[in-house]
Amino acid sequence: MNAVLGWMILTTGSTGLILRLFERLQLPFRSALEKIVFAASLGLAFMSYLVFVVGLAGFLHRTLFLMLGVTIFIIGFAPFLNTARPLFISVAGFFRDSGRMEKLILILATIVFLLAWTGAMSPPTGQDELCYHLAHPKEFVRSGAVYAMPFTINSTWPYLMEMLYTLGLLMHGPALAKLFHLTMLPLTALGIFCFLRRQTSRQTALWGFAAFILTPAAFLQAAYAYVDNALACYAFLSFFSLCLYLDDQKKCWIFFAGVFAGLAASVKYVGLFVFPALLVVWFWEVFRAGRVKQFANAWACFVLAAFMSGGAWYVRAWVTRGNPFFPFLSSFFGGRGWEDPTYVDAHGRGQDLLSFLLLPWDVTMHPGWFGGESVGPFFLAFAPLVFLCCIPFKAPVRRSLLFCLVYTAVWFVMDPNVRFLFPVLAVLSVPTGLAVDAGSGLEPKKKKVFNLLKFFGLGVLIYQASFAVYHFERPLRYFLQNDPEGYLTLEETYQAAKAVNAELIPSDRILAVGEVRGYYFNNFFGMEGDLARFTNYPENAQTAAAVASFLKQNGYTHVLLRSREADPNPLRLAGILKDRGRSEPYFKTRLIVGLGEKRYTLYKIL
Amino acid sequence: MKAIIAMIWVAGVLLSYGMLFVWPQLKEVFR
Repeated sequence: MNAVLGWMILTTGSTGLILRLFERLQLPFRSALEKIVFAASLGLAFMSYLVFVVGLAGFLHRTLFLMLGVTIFIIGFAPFLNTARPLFISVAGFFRDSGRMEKLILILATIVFLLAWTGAMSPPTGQDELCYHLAHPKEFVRSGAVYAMPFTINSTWPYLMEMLYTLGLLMHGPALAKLFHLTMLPLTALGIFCFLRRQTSRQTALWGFAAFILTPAAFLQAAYAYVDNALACYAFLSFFSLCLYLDDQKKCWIFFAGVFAGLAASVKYVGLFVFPALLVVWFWEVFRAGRVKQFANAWACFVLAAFMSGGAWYVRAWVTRGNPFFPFLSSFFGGRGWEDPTYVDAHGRGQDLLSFLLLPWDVTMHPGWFGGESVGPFFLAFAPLVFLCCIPFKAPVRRSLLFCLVYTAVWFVMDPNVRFLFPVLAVLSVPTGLAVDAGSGLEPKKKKVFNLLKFFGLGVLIYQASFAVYHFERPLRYFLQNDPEGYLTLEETYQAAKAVNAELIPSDRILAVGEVRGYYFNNFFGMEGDLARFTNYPENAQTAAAVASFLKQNGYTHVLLRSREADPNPLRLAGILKDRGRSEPYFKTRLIVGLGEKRYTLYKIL
Repeated sequence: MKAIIAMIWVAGVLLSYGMLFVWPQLKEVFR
């Protein structure tokens, strides 16, 4: 529960801080909710940059952040309360005044959010969070500084969310870190609600809200310390701000669009896909309205804002790795990066035009082709109805569809993984919400069939929400029983780490072979694959003696090998270690942990 | 007319989803 308290203090404080700034600038928000959505997302980004700057300076200490957190809370609480109080009061009235269908949507969204919350409160088990989203923040906390970890591919990536996870781990533990990612799910959905509320009725806005928050891929992932919901949030708010600018030409909105686009690019490289999508929407609208003259000024403002909010990560990668997009585009910028920047071979039907056109169908029916996360049938069933019910397209639909088309095209070419498509799902919620509720303005006789459609929609949302019940059953049980040992029985790295941690002293450094999930290990955890990529050591050190000497020179004290009896001809270091006759004098076996058919062996480098 | 077409589309998608996604998973569960 301390995690929830910490989360409340940090989010309300940072939101209030930004709200105070908004009050000074007299920004033209339409509602208190809109103001809070913008302020909360910017507040979290502010906290992230605070951790980044202090961490780079090497002052990542709990006491310092305790003082900073309390100070921010004291400054921000009053403006937060002033803005949020009338909102909290109106929530009860909102629920009371809603129709039966809307009430059910709100109840579904609340249940799904609470189940995802139990997931966020349980110990980390996701592949990527154990590999780097939480593993690297843990290393930053351990060493008291944010730094480019030697011989790691991803420690210099845009780490906006990982800075929040660092704060979470520093102040409390993984639960607080995961709550920061969970926050991004309702923030995105409420952003969609606010966007639609500017144009349409409350009911329509609620359908748009539900389309995103009840997407299985989005709410399931929100419970893990991944980053894709943050990507969706910042990308959507950037799109939202651009639309506001296109409608009323106020400079502040284009500044916001730039800031949010920069923040999307600070979450992960995939956030850069937002730029071409926004640019095409912008161009289209500028030429349509004949406002070409103002474009250059606004564009400069947008780029400047984006660079201010997101440029730091790219400059840092350039300085530390010689490539602003490391390890991608290494053939252009140099450095030992990845030659193939995509996982295209592993995803999708193919790369031809037909595959692109069939994407909505394939992503829905065959999620396994795109990383495995299910988006459910709601979007495919209802989003295409805009072509039937919303013609001629009004500005929000036109811009949403254009954004989705361009982003999806870039995504399709670069890396078609469903997680990276969350920004499209968020923006697509706008036309989907409008299409589901398209019959609301019709006369009662015609309305009947559309009401039936809404019942179908509600049925689909209930089905999608059931994913949460299935997926979060174990976290819910953990939440009720609070038994981390029982919960982590199936997490093999936890079992291995318990034994390894007891064996090592804090200054020991592990090089892992065949294992990338380092979160539960309490020592520096390097990966042999990354080391080989950076140094190309297997070409220069081919004997056990040469490898041991090389590893010691680079500060490693132990090697951890994850292997299976059935592994055929292991590569590189694993092969050397397997030949005990040759490696015994240089790699002394310290520990063997057997977990079913898998085995973790810890060697001390002599 | 529009509403009828919309209805057919939605029903078609849900039926296909049931056959292509839900049913194979159910078969796995009960195997």
